[in-house]
Amino acid sequence: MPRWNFLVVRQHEGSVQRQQTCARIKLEVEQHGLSDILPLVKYERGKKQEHYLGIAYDANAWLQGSNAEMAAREVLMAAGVASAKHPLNSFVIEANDVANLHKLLNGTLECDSFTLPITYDITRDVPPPSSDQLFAELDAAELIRGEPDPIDIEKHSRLLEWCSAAGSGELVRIQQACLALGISSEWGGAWSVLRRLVLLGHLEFSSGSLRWSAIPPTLVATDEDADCRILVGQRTQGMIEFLRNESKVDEHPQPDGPSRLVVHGDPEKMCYRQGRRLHDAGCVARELSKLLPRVGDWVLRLPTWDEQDFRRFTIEYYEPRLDQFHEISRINMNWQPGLYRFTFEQPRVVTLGFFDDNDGRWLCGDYYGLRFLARARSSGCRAILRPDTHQLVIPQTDRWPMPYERALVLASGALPQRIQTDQGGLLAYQGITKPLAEKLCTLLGLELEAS
Amino acid sequence: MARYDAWNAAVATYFTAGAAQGSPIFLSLDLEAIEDVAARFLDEGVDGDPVRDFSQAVRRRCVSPVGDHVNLNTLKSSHGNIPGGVAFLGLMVYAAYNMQEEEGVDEKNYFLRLREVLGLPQSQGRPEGMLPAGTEESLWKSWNEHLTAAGFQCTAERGSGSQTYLRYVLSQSILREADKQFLRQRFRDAHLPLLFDCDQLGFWLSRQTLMRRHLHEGLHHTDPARVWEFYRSAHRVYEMSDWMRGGGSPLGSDRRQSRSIECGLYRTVDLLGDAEYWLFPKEPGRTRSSLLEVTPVPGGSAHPLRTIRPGFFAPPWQVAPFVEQALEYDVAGDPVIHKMLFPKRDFWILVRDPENHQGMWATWKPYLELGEPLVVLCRRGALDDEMTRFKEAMLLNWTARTESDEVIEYQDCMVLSYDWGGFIPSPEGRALADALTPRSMAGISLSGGLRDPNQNAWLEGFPPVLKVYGFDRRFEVAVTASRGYSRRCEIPRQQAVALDRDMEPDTYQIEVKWNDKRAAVRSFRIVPWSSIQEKADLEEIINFNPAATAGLGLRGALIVGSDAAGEDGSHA
Repeated sequence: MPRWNFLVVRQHEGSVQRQQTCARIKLEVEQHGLSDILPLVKYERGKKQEHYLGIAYDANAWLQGSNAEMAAREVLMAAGVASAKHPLNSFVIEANDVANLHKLLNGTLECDSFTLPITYDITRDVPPPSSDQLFAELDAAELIRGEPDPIDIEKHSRLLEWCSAAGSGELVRIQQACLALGISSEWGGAWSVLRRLVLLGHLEFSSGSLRWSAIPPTLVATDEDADCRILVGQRTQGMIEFLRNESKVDEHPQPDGPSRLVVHGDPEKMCYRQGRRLHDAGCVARELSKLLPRVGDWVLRLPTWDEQDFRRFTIEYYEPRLDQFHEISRINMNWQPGLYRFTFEQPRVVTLGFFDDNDGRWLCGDYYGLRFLARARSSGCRAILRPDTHQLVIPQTDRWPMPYERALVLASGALPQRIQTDQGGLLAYQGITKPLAEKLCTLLGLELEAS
Repeated sequence: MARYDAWNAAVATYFTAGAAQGSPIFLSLDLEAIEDVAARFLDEGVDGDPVRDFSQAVRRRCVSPVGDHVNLNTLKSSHGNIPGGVAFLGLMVYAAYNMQEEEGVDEKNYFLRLREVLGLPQSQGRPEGMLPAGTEESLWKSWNEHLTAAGFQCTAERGSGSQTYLRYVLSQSILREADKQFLRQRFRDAHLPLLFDCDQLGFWLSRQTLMRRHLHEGLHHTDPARVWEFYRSAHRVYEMSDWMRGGGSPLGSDRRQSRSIECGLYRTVDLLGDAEYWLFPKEPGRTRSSLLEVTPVPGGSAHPLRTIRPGFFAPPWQVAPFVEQALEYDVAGDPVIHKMLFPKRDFWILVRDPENHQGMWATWKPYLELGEPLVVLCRRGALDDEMTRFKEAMLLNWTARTESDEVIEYQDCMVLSYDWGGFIPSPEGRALADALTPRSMAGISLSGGLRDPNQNAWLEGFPPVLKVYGFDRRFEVAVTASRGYSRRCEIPRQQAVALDRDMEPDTYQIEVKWNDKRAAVRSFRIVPWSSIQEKADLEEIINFNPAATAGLGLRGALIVGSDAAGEDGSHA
């Protein structure tokens, strides 16, 4: 650590001479590359109108065959300060001797630094949007068209491995990991990724803070084949290799998420590390279908938005038939039942609310949940089962509320396939048996169609 | 009598126990360390004096009884993941500890001491088997590789000229016995209070005029890691408190009676955005982990101290950053750790979690890196004025100043100038000025990329972005690795430089030179994706939010309960 002393010489120079001397000293210091040891020179006014030239040196620095004080003396002499030659004409003020320094000096005249200051370059972190704002957004994957890309699939698998090692964190950690992996740089993209990992059962999130956590390695039975287990939760290459030594593991790449790993064998005996058993959660989809409430009861559980002053928002009404929002007047606010988007401009905050005319409440929820309500109460939503392929097909605009979509995804461990048709986008959920489809459709008040 | 392998494993474990990832490790084996290893880390019993037992174990392993020949080949195999030569290297450092102040540091004097501790005949120069010079270097390299692979910073380094290989030993030796005696005397003469933390004692020591060259050089070294190791070693002497009694060396049994847990500060933000401060206990280094409990108030119920990562316990409760007197808490569960101390201080300097650049601000590191964003907390009063003076003198800058009660908080602080020598701080501000003064012409910042959250390393394919902070326009940078990778360039300061994405898993060293002098050095690792390990002890987040779970308690694919009342919110 440097200890800054000053080698001081009494001087009687005018302003121009002082500046010239400083410039010569600077040149000497820079030519010899000594600015780390001799970082600055100062002219100070003494108490009796005399001047003192002081060159700072690091008393703790050692130079080959010399010390910093000697180097300071040589630099002054080379710059024409001849009086520095004799110790009798110069003296040292030690860093500790602050009190004496104050007695001696009466103010700085000139000061020349031989180093460059650092540029202040701290940029403040951009805080994440509120959870309400993120809940109001579409899944970013819906905005992308195209076939699954092997590189993209690998990125998602790596993200899950990274989440498995991190264990838990705030949304910003996933956002930063997504940025590094090249998945997304946006908050909405990070939220979409987190939402999909939650649907797949790998992670869970805390709605208020958007904190997330991985779950321990777990086997989930599929709906269509009780002997087939999907690995969810923490996953690393080492774990999978260990598992492969004991069981048959099939990997099924899927777009917008990590590969789906199907594990065959006796779940009672499966370990992912020496002595560490996999947890067997059974068929979670079926279990959820037994526990989830009917849609009317779900609506009753949704939290209420208590906003009173709507005039400060730009308000848009969701038109279910067109699947579009359009702006409405802020003056004539006769609320008709349905989904609204409220935008506060400075700072921009977007909130979704569903006006339920049954009890005059504003319901809060995520985009898909509230849009489903709006469409279900207006034009109705559709769900079609393809018995031959065990696919449940849902128009993209009728995407189910998250609790019910969890059941669909966990039935197979696969995210829905996105299919484009002339009539619009469709979501096809895999491995859905007729009983499960019927049960979930009943809960949501939908009529299950067969193709 | 303990076997060599037992000593070897115990010594290696002792020096990394309780050390935070990324922290520098010194194999500073002295008398107290040998006693401590024997008492707390050695799995086999010793025969009488631990030092004799240790040196005999080393002798039996590597000195041939015929001709007193040292056979280093017996030390080259690894035991588990621990290199076989650690105990031998420790004994080499121990020999350096026995050198007296007046002895010149050269091979001639050093090897006399080494011969002494190895029980070899007293004669000049290297013992048989350690010739030619540098035969033992491979052992040092193995130790360094072991440390970096474990996520620590190695400190044993090669020198030049006549100290090419001796430098390895000297770089590890911290306080010699004679230095400790000297310090005991100084502590006693100065009537030091017993409640200094390591930082405060370090500041006090840095202000002393010390004529002992080894001690002076250590306390004012250009490498802050080495300075800090001297502070820590001096603090261990101070902590024993035997210096208060006067007299000679302390009794062996007294040595281990008074270790304490030091506390720093951990900052969180409440829902309204206001800062909250927590005690942040540091895991005492060189101790075997045990279940510790701390009692917040005398007679109150005990609070378990949970390790959140090596080197740190979870913050147990909130605290006011500036107390009128140091706070002492009783600790139970360990034979030598009896107290936890929160010091009375006038400022705190917090840095971001080194393993998570969006993480919490806390006293994660004992010293600052150039270019590092800081949060500086000051007690209301003189230091607040001093910070304003620092800013006016353009020594540092910050973006926001907030005040609450007795705490002034400066956010996003950054040290900007090297010219602290030209600034005369007030007497109250000297410690703060010292803490903020840059120690070198340059610093290395590594950010971005993708870090393995548990290994203090970056993942293959996602290396960090390099930035050099310094007090000149351009710097020479060399990035090298043990397996041959080498990239040399000159870069402007504060320019983000992306490192090659195809850098292979290895340990890399970045050396920044300015005017042909080493201005900064930093190591980092790149690890393969296959080495990533799932985190144990997962945080349990159970979501009950009706929009996401319809009020069921869900934890990913696990159904953990139902909340029929439809409670809104999530339970972590």
